[in-house]
Amino acid sequence: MEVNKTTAEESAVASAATEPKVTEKDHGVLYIGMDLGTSRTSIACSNGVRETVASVIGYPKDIVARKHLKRSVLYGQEAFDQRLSLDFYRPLAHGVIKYSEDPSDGHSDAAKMNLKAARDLLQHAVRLSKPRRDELLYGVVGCPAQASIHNRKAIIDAAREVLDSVMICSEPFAVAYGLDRFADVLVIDIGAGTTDLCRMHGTMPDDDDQITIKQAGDLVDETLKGLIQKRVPGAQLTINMVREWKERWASVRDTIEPIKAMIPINGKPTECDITDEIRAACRTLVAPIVEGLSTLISTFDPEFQSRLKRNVMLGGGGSQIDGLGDEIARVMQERLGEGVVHSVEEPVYAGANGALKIAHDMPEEYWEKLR
Amino acid sequence: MLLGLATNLFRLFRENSDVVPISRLRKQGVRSVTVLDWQRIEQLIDRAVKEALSRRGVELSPAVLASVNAEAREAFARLVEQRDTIREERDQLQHTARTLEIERQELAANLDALHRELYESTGALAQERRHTISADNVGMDRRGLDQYTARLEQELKRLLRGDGAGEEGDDLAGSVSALARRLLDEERRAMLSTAREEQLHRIDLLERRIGKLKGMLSESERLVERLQSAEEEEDGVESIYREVQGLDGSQVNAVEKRGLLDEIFRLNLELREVIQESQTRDA
Repeated sequence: MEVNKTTAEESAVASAATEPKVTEKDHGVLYIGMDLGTSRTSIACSNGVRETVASVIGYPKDIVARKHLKRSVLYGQEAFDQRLSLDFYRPLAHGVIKYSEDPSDGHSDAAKMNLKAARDLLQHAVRLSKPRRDELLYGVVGCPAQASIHNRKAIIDAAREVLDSVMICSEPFAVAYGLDRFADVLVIDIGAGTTDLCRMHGTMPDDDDQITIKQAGDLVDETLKGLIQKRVPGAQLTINMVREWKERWASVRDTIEPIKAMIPINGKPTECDITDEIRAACRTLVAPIVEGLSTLISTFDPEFQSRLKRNVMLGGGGSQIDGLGDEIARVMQERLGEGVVHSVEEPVYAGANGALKIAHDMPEEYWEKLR
Repeated sequence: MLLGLATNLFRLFRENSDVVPISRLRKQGVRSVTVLDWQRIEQLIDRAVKEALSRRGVELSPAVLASVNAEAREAFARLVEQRDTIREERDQLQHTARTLEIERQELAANLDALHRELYESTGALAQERRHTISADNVGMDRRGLDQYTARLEQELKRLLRGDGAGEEGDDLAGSVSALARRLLDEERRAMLSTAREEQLHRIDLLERRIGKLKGMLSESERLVERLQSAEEEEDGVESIYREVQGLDGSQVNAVEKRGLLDEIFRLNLELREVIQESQTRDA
């Protein structure tokens, strides 16, 4: 079949579909703060745009799917809803881009596709900021406290394709910066893949000031699924189902309104009480977090340890678990003698807001040097 | 000035109103229309100003109130005047949107055609690869060749015996059939070689065509997506900053913040250098 190349070429020349002329970026500067998370990616921008999108992406499996979906790539909830027709990717795990930790992993097809997915996701997040073509784009991307150099390189490489200048910083530090808290504070950022703890003492936190633990939202989901399956034989569960229940009802409190979920048991939806399972799964976060806090506090100057214990900031998606702050404080009291935990406002955007502030405050010459 | 404004408003209304024939209104079942004259409009503007001030608990002297009313009417007149400009811009944008939509549809159609051709070419290539060219596919197969040379020898012997050739005739018939066999064999080998070369050539063409189609497909998909995003996003949302900002030195913790920002920059600079070094090593 002959393709009408001439028409396509003419269209390409005549229309806005051509490569845009190099536009002078003299209209202003758009700052973008980005929190690139395992489960969600959030942006906060200096044009007032704030968006959050699930960190998933999919490409149509074949020509039939491509025609049906009318796009070559889908993101976020839309990708999730159509995942059966897609090569579906969740490119981040434990807060880092999969396969980016070890460069020798990076040559397999799976690794290359995953990296492409991460790049496309990051670039989609930038597009969500609705940037003007004639504005400079300066972005700060938060990544896990102990992300490796390979992972940071992967993020920078992807970001530089769409931003005029980009910097990365530790995610919990970005949260602290956004709260204007630079000293005597411990930040806990509970994500899906990792929980980051960061000790702020007036200077840039170094490796000793930051701990990343793998117990986070994904682990709670796995635990919840296992607990329900143990108590309800024949329950047909997926991780996505239990995640939905967790996000709706998560709590660590002793007293909770009974939680009733409709669980397919051998194909028949059956109402089941999963209150205890939800509570138990959510509580699995507490001990490792307090363990991490204990490490950061005990290795700190003893004259200032009490200040740290009284200023624990709880953020990230996992901070929305009802009663978690109080429970952490209670265990800190038992184990460390005292503990006061505050939950950040807007946990979904706390990291992005902090990254935006950093972007705003960064001197011009620094942005220029990193272009 | 009031008279001038009145005349101006009247003209503006006439110029910027949509003219609808009464016959069309009748067809639409409209039996009566609401008519607003410019005097009434002015009264409405004055009333709106009065109510807005009253809600805010603001009392103005008559002179100042008259001035505010006049400003409000002027602003209204400007808006009416602008309506024409906005309408033209809207029409232009709609025309552009229609053009873009047509181009997008054409690109999408081309994209479909490319997909179909890629699919067909890929199928043809797979088929070609499965098909093995052997001597038995080309011209006469071996069995046919054996039968042919045996018949040839038989017929030659019969002819030569008929001419009284005897044993010598049989030998001659054998030599001729052997020669024929050899020549035919050579011809078959040549045909086989040609057939295989042609198949390789076809495969090569198909592979290159598929490669080119994939490139065109990728480019077309990119163009379609660019058009789609251009329709959706238009010019983008403007940042509140016309210039790069930087830290406000008057803030209470500015010194502390500056130290942290310097450190972030230093770490990022180091990271770039490490990345650059590793890229140079890999290269």
